[in-house]
Amino acid sequence: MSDGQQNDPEVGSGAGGGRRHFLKTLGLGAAAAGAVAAAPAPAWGGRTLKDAFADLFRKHYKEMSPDEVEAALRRIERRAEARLGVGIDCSNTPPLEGVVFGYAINVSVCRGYRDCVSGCVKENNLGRDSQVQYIRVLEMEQGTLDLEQADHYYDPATVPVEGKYYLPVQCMQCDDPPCVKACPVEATWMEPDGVVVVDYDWCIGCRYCMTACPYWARHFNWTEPQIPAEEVNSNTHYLGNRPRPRGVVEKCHFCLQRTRVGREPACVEACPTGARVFGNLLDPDSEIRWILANKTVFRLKEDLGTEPKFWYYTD
Amino acid sequence: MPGGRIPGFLMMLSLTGLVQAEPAAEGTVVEKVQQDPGRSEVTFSVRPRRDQLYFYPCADCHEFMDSNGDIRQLEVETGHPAGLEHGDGRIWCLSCHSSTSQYNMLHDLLGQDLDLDRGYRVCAGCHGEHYRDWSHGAHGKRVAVWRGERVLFSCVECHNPHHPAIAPRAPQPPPPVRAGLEPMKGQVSGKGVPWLSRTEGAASE
Amino acid sequence: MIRFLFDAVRTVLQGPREYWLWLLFLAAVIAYGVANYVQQLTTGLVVTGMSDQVSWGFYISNFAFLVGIAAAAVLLVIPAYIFNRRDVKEVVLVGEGIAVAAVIMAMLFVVVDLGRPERFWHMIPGPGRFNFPLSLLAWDVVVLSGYLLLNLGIPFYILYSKYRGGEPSLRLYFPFVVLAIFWAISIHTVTAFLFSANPARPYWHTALLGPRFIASAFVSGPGLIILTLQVIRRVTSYRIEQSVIDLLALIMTFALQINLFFVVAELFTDFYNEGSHSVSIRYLFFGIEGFASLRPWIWTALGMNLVAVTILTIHPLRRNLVTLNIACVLACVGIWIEKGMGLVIPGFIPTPLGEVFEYTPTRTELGVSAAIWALGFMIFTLLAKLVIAVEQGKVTHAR
Repeated sequence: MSDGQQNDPEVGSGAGGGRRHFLKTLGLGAAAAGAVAAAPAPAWGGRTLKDAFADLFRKHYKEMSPDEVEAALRRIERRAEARLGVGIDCSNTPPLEGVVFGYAINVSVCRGYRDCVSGCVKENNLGRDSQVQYIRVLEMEQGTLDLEQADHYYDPATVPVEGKYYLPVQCMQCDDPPCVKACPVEATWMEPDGVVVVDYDWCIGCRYCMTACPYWARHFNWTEPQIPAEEVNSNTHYLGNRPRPRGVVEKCHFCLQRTRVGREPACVEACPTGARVFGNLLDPDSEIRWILANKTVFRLKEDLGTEPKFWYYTD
Repeated sequence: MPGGRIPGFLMMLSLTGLVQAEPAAEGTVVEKVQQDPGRSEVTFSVRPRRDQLYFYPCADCHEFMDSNGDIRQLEVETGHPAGLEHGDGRIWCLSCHSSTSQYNMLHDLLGQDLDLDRGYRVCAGCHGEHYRDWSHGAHGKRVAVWRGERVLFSCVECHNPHHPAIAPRAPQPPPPVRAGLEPMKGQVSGKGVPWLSRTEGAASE
Repeated sequence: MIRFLFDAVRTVLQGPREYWLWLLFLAAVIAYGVANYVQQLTTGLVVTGMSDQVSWGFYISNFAFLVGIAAAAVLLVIPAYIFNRRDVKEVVLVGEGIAVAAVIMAMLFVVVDLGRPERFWHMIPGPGRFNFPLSLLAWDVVVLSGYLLLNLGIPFYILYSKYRGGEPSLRLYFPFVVLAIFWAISIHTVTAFLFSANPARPYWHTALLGPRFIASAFVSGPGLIILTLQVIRRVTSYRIEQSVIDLLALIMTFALQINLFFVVAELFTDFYNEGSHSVSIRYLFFGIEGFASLRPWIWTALGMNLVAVTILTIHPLRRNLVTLNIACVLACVGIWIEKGMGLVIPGFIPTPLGEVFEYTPTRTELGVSAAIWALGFMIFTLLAKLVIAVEQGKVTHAR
């Protein structure tokens, strides 16, 4: 199903008769056109022609008026209903004032369970069969931080394995993000609360941002993400976990739908060891700030100058 | 259940100026810990666990038993811990549990009784660094939110005090590869740590 | 002007049987590729062999190679218009025809690589948002579009003047020629910067990438032009002086020598003290962790280039058309491998997190790519037919 294919809606053509007949036919035709536009059809992915047109000819998120954003949110909800068979709520919760999000993981405590990965997949409506997982946990050789020696596909009977430690990696929400520079259409940018977001309805799928990311944090929908209807998380955000189309890039967005209303991200909640810490970098009394001030911290690939807002620390 | 059967002497602890405990709403226990000098105190509450204990109140049985202070393995019913896999023989039951008439209590290193919901103060006696980290968020978990009311999970939510070592468990499945592609097979392991193989080779000769 | 266009269409629709067979063959390849592309449009890029690990593949490999071919047209423009070589001036429009075909092919390779091609208009400033000058991809769009316009506009003006029976006014088009020369260098430099801008990919993150691109473009471009000119000699009555081919062969020789020197410089820098920046090139030339699918390709390419540079360096062999053609084919294919798959794919292996995941293009990818190449050949054939007809005076306004 190809979104955005275009046909001209039927327009009535007056054939013979007087002007009144012509105008009447025209009126009927216009009504028919309206009906065609309003009726869902398989050609537009189950959406109405009107929705498909409105989605195709849209403005950039930053240029949309509040009404236009609202209309876009409703279209997303209708599209999800048509595609997934589930009603969802899509919000556009703005960033909180005076907040820049920061994240820290205690490497001494991570056991490699990957509960964070599955929590994220469920919370963020990630395609179950498509490869996309925002978090990747690396099984590292004790004694080295050399990523070449990491095992991505570890599957022992139990973790932790002797002689290994575990390093989860996801989007670092860089403060000087190379991906934002790379995007030719400004489909990705950093929000005021520090999260680097993607507008899935603006991305053209060129994947240049993926080549620019030093942390392999950005992922592409090579195929339509499939989510079982009963597992859909219906609490969604426009820039966050609302269902995505194929052919666009996506990545960890610090669970905007949760964090902008004060809840912790799904990975933090899912982790049973408490290795993950999340908070406001601008609040001097926050846990994340205490960790940065009092624990031994490091960041990955710091020498590249990306200024990640994602730290690792040890006991 | 009633919020705090917190004895009055706990208020005496507040005289130390370092710790204050007070009865809190909704059965949580509120702690105030002084942070670094010059900074505001860190305040948090701890999710209570006492309600979920099976062998509570202890007094139900122990009221009718004589107190025996000999260090030993207990002969008990299934479920009630008989000994400790904690501390390698350096501690035993009564190191933490009260053996006075306050059967339902724990006690800290000062000998002062502590309600089971403030059991983390017992852990703090030996595990001070973890206690410090935990109270500031660098250890353990916070319930549900990153701002607003700060409720922490008590130590015993993760660590069974009678055998605190967390057992290894199976991980969730490894990541998939892209739909339609096969995982890479036949990987030869990486270079490893070069000097290690050298010394091992030398040692074996 | 309309009449010119009508006459142009009539010219390309007239031709001997071989001409039509050739066009028919190309059309068949295009049709096959279009069917593959439709499959890609309806199912998604999952029909390709790309993955999150190797997120650019055969399409972008061909794109990088073709931008080089397009830039190499400048090697005919400079002798023709700056040094006023009459012999080169006779074929310069053919070179610009190659440039047009190559740019169109390059742009098409980017379009078929997009996940949402219907959203390409998001790049148009105004209705869309164009991240210029920050995004190198935005720069590439600007320079390629400009280059296409220049290489359509200037030849169109010259042809139209000849069609009208007059001479084109040098004063009018010369500034654009100078612009086109600088622009040609810029398209390939920008394309090189597209890759070298990424510190996330140490294999590409070298200042040498820009010079390597130019050097290899000045090998593959002239090589292709030399072969094309000889085909034109064979199938038409158009006169092509041997001196033109000699000049191109000489340029090719120097460029290939320089390119091979760059390869030596890369190999030394990466292998003398091997660090994390060298893993990709080790994968390419030797394989890592037991995976080495590109190894036979790169050594073949290196071998081809070495044979080619030997032939070209030895004067009698360069002058001999048979050995020269062999050298051209070897060099073009060698550069195509080295700059295409040998450049793009190792940039993704290993991933920034150290994972080795290999890539093989699927039949769908190859089908779509073949169609784009066929379309490029077709465009060039039609343009060359028109250029030759006008230059030979067979198509004029006065009739």
